[in-house]
Amino acid sequence: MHDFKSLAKKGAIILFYALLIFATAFVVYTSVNAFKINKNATLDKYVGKQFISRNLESVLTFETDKKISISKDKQTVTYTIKATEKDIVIFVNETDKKEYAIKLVDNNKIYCEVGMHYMYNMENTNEKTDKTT
Amino acid sequence: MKKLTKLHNFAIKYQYTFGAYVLIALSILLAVFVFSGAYVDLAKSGKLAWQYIVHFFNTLTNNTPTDSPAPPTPPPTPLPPDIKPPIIPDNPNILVAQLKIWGLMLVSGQSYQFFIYWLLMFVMQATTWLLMLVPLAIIFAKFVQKAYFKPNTNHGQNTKSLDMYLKFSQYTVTPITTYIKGLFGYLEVCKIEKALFIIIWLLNLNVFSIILPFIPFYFYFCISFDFKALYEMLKFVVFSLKYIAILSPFVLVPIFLLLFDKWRLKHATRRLQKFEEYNQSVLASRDISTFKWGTMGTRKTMTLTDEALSISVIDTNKAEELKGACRKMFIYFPWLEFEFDIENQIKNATIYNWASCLDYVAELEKKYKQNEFDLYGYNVEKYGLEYYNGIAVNNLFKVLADYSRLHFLYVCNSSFIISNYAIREDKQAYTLGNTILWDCDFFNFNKDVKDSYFSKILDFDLLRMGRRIHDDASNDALEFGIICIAEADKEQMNAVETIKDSTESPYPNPKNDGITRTEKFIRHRATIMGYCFAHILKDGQRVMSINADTRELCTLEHMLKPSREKNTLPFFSFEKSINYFASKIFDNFDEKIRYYRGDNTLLHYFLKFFNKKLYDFYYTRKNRYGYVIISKAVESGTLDNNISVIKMYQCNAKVYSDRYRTDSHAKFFEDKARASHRGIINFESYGSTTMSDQEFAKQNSYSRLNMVNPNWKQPYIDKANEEKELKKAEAKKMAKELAKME
Repeated sequence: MHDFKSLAKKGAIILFYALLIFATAFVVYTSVNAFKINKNATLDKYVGKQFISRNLESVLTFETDKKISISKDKQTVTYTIKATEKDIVIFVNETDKKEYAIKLVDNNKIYCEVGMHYMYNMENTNEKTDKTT
Repeated sequence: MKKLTKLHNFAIKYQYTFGAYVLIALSILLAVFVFSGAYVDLAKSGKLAWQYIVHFFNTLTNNTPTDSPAPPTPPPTPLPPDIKPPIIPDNPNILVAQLKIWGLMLVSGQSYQFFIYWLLMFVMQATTWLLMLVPLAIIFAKFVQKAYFKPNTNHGQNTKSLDMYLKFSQYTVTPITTYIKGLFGYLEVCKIEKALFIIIWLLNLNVFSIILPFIPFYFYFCISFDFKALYEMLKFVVFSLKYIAILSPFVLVPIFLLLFDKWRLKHATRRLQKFEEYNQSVLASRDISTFKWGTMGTRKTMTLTDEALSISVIDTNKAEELKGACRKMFIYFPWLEFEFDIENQIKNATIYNWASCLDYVAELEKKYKQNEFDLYGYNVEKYGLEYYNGIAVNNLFKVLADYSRLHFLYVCNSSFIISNYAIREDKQAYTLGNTILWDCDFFNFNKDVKDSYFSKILDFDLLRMGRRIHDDASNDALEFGIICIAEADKEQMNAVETIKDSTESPYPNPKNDGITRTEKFIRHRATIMGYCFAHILKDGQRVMSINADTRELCTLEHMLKPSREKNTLPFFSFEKSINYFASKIFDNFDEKIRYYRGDNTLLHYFLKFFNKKLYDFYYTRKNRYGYVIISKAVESGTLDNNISVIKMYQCNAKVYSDRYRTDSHAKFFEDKARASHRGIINFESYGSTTMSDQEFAKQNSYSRLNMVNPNWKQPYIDKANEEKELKKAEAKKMAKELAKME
């Protein structure tokens, strides 16, 4: 009984440290990705391109370098781009003045904070179409 | 030739001064050619600081916040072309967006997918490299083994490569390292050069440019809470760090590691100090007499020593605390002059114990009453001679008597520990010519600074109120102190050993020496203002071996198994692991090379050097910051079985710092062994696994003697009787001769 107890204790300690290391590495990984500035990313690249969320709930389109539109359930809302810096775009809903942000990770994936503070991993539909053709 | 010698002597004498000036000159050159932009930034910062000061006062004078003018904008600080853009974006909204995205990434399943994919890729790459490197390492190790482990007996000879390296290092590595060490030592001592060097580099690295506007901004922020301006200032600070960011990672990483290490050491020391505070709080609430029990090697004497050292600090602090209470009773009394007077009387040997303190104060009182003494200029008419504490009246002279004894204890440049084995205390007195402050910190110390005080020799006659070995008045001198008795049960002896002793015996023995009476009365000698400055700490091996009177006077502390050694240094496992692996590799190599080769080789030389550095690094930290949690089962001396377990911290830096010797009685046994003229190599060995009778006889064992001859004791008895008879006959003869002479 005593041996099982000490074994369980040792196992718990090892598990705890393993989880701690995993969590630390994950936090470092996400923070690097969130704060790392992609010097090559510019908004111009995305103008005219569409991004679609994985579960097809919404479609995000870079109308111009001043406007973004998000379509969901056949309804389209247009947002004004408020600020950009390299790979971050902040846009605002002119009606309710709510602000959202997009991080442009690479050409076909973006992290997007839309609506109820949900994050969508959106894929560039244009790129997809190009690949399929 | 003479001129050359003079020049050489001059160069030797001022070598470090030259070095310091060369360093300063180099720093100035770098300031001109590399860090010149920092001085432009400094001018801008000065302007910004001034603007913030003006803005701060403007904001203060304006009644409504809307009237306040806009805060000054920090000037742009252009980045050198070769450094990357800083992590802080121009627009605060962008930073907020980054933070939001980070938060979202933390909870996104997709991020975990990416991370695990990245982790797997990393592991795969690492495994690929390992698969290539491990066989190479094995081949290299085999090659080294083949090349190096060729047996020879060239004792003390160096290989050619080692000789060449030693010659090379004699003219390069050794003088350079010696010079660098000397230069650092010189800079430590010469404050002007050191200050100049530090100031130049603080300017070069833009540190002043950051501090200058930050101070007025801080005051502005306190009244405005202007977060937009705060962000601007934060941006300014980050951008101003560009000259630190420009430095190579070879400079930045060691600096960062050094600073991180400094933090670790400070944190570890602070933890040890907290442990000591806890220990002292436990000891302060404990009985004045304790007896530690445990078998050999259960840290009894170590714990006893540890506690004695802590109690010494507690008593020193308590004396100062009680002195403070006295001063509060008569706040206008010139206490400092009274303290100087007491210190002078100690120097003159007028005061040498507490009783003489009382005599001296009584003498002062007498002089005062006869108008021969003005009480150090104290205005008695205005401030009075009495203090009413709500329940009783304290006379000034009574308070002075207490104060003089407390001050005697406080300023005493000696140990209060009286022990039957040597204990080393260290504490440092600081004074600017007024009062004295003691630094009794066990952990934050410089080994060269503190003064050592060894404990006083415990003359057991000091404790005997009954029969003594030397019965004279000097043995009544014990008033207060920390009495430490190791192996006290051996001193007290058990019932069998004292069977022939009695209270009527003409010689001192545990039954008539009255040591327990001393313990019962010790509070009467050692109490000032309700606090007892006497403590009795003993240790022994068997609870029941001492008599009930001795046992029931103290609290019994049974030593339990201590915890494994821990360390207060954060991430100490890093040092531990490095030392473990390095030692594994080195010890294996060292053992083999010492076996195979008698000469000295270059590889062995380098491995020894690096292993020693690593070992020192690990071992000094293990010693300095290691600790063990000890547990004691505490019960009263009446053995009522009401046991509670107390945990205390035992820190290596305190107990292993040459405090005492666990083999303190070694000298006695060494002398005996020396006189025996033989050692273990002279002891006879058995001839085979079956013992012969001659071999059995050489054991001088009782069991064999009883088996061979049950009357083996008789010759000893006869011899003793013969000697007795002879002595009797001699005594009779002497008596007859004396009678004849009379």
